[in-house]
Amino acid sequence: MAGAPKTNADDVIDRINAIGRDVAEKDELNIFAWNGIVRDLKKLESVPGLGETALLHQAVMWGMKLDRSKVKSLFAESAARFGKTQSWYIIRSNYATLFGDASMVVDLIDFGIGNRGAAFVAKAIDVLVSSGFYIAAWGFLLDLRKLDAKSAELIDARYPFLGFASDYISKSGLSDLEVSRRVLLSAKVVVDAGFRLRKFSISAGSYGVSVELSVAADLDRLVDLNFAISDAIASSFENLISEYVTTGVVPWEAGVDYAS
Amino acid sequence: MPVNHADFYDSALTFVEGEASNDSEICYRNSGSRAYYALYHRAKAYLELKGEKILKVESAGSHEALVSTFARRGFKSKSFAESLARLKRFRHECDYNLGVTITRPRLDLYLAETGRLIDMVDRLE
Repeated sequence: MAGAPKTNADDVIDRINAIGRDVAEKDELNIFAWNGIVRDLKKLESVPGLGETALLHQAVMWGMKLDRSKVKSLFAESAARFGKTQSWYIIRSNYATLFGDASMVVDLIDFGIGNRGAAFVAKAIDVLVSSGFYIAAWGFLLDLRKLDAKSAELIDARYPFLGFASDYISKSGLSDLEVSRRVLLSAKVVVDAGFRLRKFSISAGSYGVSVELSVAADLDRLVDLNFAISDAIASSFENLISEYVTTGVVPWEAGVDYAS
Repeated sequence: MPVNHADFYDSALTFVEGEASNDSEICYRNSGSRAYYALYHRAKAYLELKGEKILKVESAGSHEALVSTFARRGFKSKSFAESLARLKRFRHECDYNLGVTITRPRLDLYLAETGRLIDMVDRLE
């Protein structure tokens, strides 16, 4: 069929998921595969009913390259052409860590999470946890238990610290936004230095909450990143909240999960 | 003074390096804990030498008071305070949170960071 895309949208999304897994698990971006996917997404843009998917997933692809400018322009183009839809809000909110911008998550919360079905709530909880919105994440997890107990169990297992962290932060007199701004600033420092964020590990106890970002870098570079995070927090906020919450980087280790 | 911060740091290293070391998580935990105390004592001695009073913090102990005192000094000290708090939390994980895995790469990072922070103390404004 001349001019028609060789692949359908599902196939392209499968390939995006595969390349995304390689990036997350091995810190490897196959440029040949990346180019092929972006080319096919551009073809899908003109297919009726697939334009928004094509644009939003191009943003995902450029996110893998940490290209903030392209990601921003693709979300703007999608909003202009197709409006700010449920997909737009949830996919865009994933990039709060790339931009260090809590407002992208606040926009998602303001759009509404709890009334959009269990799958959406589960995705939103992932975004909220990776962005430092622990109180909100815990609240939606309680909602999810009523909507879809199985899905809630999976999230409970993934984030065993969530209930404690939410309660601790709340009792410490902190807001989600205060915590999130520091978490996302730390993430931005890492991305500014040219590293991908691999994983967030959070531990919480009566001693406070520790948010650690896994980064594949050598030891000296990791120490530099931690100092850069401390400098950024010291210069950006009048008051430290380190008595309650600290952020930093740790070495990426395959299969190791610090969360507790 | 029978011991100083350097003795704590040396002790931290002996858990993971040298003849008596043991490549086990309990050694990583002990090492991480001693390393933090090396930094704590170095920072405390610095303020004492400067004649600066450590400010008490309501409902918190001497360690938080030290962090808080540095946080109220200049920019570099405030940044140092944030790093000190991060290492303090790692020490708490080493000593109290048995549900979290302390790995060698993670310990090595905190040992390296502690060493550089100890060297940095004299340059704080």
